[in-house]
Amino acid sequence: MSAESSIAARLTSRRIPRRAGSPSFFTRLFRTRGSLFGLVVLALVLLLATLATLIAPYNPNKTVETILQRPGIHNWLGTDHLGRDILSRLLYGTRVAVLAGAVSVGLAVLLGVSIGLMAGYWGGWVDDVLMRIVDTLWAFPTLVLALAIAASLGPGLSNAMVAIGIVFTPAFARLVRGQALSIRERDFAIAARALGAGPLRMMLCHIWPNVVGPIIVQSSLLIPQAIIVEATLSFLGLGIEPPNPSWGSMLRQAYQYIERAPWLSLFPGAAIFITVLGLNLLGDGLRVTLDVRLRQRGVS
Amino acid sequence: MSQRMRRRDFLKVSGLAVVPLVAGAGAFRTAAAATPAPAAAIRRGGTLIGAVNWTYPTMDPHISTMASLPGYDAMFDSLVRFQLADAKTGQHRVVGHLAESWEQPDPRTYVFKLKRGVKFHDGSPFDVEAAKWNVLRMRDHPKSSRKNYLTAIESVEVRDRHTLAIRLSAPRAAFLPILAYHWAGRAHMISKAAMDKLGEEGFARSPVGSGPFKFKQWVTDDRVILERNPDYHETGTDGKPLPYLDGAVWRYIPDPAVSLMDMRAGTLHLLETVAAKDVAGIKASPDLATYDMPWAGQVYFQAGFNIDAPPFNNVLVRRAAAQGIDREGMAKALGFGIGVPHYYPKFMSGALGYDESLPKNEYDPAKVKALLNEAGFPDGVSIELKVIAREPENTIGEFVQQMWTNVGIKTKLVSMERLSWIDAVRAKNFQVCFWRGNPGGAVVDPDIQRARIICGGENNWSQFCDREIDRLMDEGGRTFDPKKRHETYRQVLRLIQDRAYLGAGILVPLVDAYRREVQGMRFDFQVPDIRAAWIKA
Amino acid sequence: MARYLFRRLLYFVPVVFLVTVVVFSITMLLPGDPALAFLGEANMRDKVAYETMRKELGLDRPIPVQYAIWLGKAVRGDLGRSVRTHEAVTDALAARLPVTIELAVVALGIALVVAIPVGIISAVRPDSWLDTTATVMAVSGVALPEFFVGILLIYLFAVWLRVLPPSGYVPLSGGLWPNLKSIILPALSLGLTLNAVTMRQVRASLIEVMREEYVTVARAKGLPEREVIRVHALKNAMIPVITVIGLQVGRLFGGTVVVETIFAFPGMGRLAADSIFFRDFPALQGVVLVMALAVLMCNLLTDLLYAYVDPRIRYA
Repeated sequence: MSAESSIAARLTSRRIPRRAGSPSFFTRLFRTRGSLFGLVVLALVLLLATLATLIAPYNPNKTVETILQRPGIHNWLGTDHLGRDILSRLLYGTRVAVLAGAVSVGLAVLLGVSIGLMAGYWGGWVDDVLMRIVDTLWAFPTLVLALAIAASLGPGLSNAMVAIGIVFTPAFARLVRGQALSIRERDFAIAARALGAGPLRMMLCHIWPNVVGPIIVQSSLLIPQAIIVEATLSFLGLGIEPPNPSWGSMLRQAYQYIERAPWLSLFPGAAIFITVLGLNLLGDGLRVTLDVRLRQRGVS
Repeated sequence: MSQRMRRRDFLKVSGLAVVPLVAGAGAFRTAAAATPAPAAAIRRGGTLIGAVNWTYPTMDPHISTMASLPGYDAMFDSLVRFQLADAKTGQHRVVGHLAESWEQPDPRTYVFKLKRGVKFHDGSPFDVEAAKWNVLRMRDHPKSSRKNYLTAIESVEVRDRHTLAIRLSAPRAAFLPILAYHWAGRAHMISKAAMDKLGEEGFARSPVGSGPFKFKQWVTDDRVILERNPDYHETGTDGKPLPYLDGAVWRYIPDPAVSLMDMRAGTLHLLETVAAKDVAGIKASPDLATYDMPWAGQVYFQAGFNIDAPPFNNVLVRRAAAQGIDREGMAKALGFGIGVPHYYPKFMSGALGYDESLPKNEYDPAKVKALLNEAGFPDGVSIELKVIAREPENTIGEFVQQMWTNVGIKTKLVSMERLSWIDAVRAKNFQVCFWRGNPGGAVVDPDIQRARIICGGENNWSQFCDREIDRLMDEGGRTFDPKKRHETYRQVLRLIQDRAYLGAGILVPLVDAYRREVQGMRFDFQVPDIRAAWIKA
Repeated sequence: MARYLFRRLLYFVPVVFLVTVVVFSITMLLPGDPALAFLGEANMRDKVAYETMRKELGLDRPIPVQYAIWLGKAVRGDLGRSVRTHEAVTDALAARLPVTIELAVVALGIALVVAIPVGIISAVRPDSWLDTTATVMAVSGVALPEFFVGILLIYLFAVWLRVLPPSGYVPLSGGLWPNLKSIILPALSLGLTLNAVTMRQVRASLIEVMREEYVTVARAKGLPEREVIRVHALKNAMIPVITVIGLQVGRLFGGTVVVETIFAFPGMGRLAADSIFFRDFPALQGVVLVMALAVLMCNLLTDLLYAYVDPRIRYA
């Protein structure tokens, strides 16, 4: 049991003693309580997001009750300042969160991996130019850049996702480039090139498989980040348009009523907290598991 | 506008009665005194901390697009001011300030007698040359926010050291109210000497006026700090010069939740523009008092239809939309107990021309369906409602979207960034847009609404155009007879209602709140006047 | 060392140049006319004022020319004049930078004073109640968005307990105690993530270092545990901590946007937000430029510090 993985495992939570024998990937993942919790949260969030339209008790954008009702029988979580059911809005907000996390990081992966592969494989001036651009994006504080891009694209969830995707691209670009550079110099890569393998083949067959692991880990850490950034953008007034709910925009409106109806702020905030916490723990667990396996396979 | 004022003008014009002049000066003298309080009780000293919810764009009052922010009145005196004549109807009268009195030798000329012994904060004197320069600057400066209301000024003459004559190109009954109204041509007097010395940009950051408070510091986006002007030309009830306070700080707090918390905590004395949702809570609080100003209220949901594009080029559809406005529901959801249904856009009770017997375009879903049917839309229409992406516009928009969709006008809410919204509206790229309107101008004088109603008017955001309305507005502006004017403006309102160019939702009165320790608060139509304010220990 | 410094600086320059290009383009990409922003809804149809503003802002020139003019002036220290408030952008930045810096410094200070000791103790006594509590809080802290923490803190301390002001910045000139009272809540909101990450990193690297051989040797030599930690383990454990803190600086700037908005602080973050929403191009360009340069400087300093402390890096 190497020092690093035990420390990393400690970071997430207490370890359950393991059986003898070589465990599979998922078994290892489930071992740590943290990642188990994270997995449950992920499953729950995905489930709620998919089923939101079916299980929401009311239309989230329609006034159904008097305004600012406390949680009660008819409205389990109460109503907001326009009399809309908070539970329904929270459920629909889950869809926004899932979209925000998946699509923006997906975009970042697409852009970042492309840039990183090109830079890492070709090296030379291509690498210099691309990396300078990446460094430039990296120099801007995340939220400020996301804010500026989202503002220039206009209100709307898709614009916010594009903005977040662009902002997260450098993370993947650097990751992939690093991997690509180190792999390029390995014997098998040199051999493959000598045998006439073209750039596409090199990237797909040799570089990509080794890069997948770190990308998954990085994604699992950045998806919750993306959710927070989307919530922040919505809180500041960009992002999803009214009347559609997002956890961030719900908090924005709830804050106005903090004295009269503090529970309005509690529910969307708790939703963000639990989701991000779960995904973070899952990401940590993935990192531990994948890192160990990668180390065991002798790669990186 | 007060009937009293109209009659007085009429008398002056017809050459009768010298009394009005004295009455004018007398009115000024009463305006100067503090609210009744025994001289011994007034406590000097202390700093008043007030909150505003819009950032000061500049310290130059002529250029500022937000001249109703309280700091300006604290630093700059104006030629004339408002005084509340009847709290029930909201009628105000114009009283003198730096212009002690005036007469109208003919319908187009106003002769002002200026107050003597007034100095600007930099020591330069306020005299007729200064006044003339100020008036011309407000009319001619390309960035002046006043110029559209002062285009009628043909010439400004110096009669003697303390007499200024302003000649208009055509008679304008609303001229004096315009000079007093913050949202029109409020004639703030600034020091020419300071402008010459500092230049435009310098003055914009370091202003000099003649008001009860001197400018001390402006921390942009945060606060404006003022200190007492020891040489102010008005005296308090204790015989010494106003103001009683040592200083004033105007804090920019954009978030009503935050300013409310500060008020309760006592770190804020005055809150300008209380959000509707907080009014009930403040009234219930023993430490806080409110000043309600229905005449300065806002019409939540002032809708403008684009009459040149489908479907609102059809008057039947416009009327259907106007009758689809559920004002009672809006009052309940957005009015928080203080909002009342408002039926007449651009006008309000207390204004000339206001007549409740005119068609109200009341909420009637059956009627809406019938009108849409008649217009050729048996299955309803689909429209886009463009709204600025900020509060409370967002909330209003969300409510309206539901409201209209329920009666067959399927509405899609398009939330846009402020600048994009302005772009779109300017380019007439909208079907219906809305904003929060201020019909209070009509109470001051319906002629002030001119720029919002006439073809190509500077403030006619939805850019509707009706030549008949233009003709009537011109006529009303030129006449002095209050009865004739009432009838003319009544016609204008009737046209607006019949042709449904605009829609109106609810009227939410302007409410300012202040802590009970603050005494002697006065209001100049809607702007807090702290010259005679003091803080109880 | 000097060679490493030189190489890093060589990479620094083109990035700075690209940053200015990006800063300028972003503001150009923002739709909406800044001249209109100045006029506002009230005067949007005032043609005379509109034309005057456009000329004043130089918007009638082609974009590359505008960029060149802007850059030329910026190099000389003139960042133009804010459309929204008429003050010189350099003055605006100079007024706001201290506020944000104080906020960041206090947040950082809390991290040093609280997070590092807690991290050390957690590492030294793993699985104790302190360790578990601290880890739970750290893991939770990263999951909370800054604005939500701000709202919670305001509700707790300003609305419910009423011991702290809910908003507003009191500068040091207004007294040390009022200044601290006004800054503690926003600093906590801002620094929560920083604190959480720092604590976890300290704990992780200290635990790792303590397993190294030279620590075992030190123990074998008979040194008291405290000295083992202090003299041998801590220094090396701090290296990744420095990196982590340095990298968090960028996040801090982003966090100031939201925190300063909620707490009504007149700082850089709020200026950025206000400028974006108001289309105040000159101010926005100035703010983003300064922020980006600050982040670059911090990254550079962190790299240099890291290279200084860990000689292996220099030869990579």
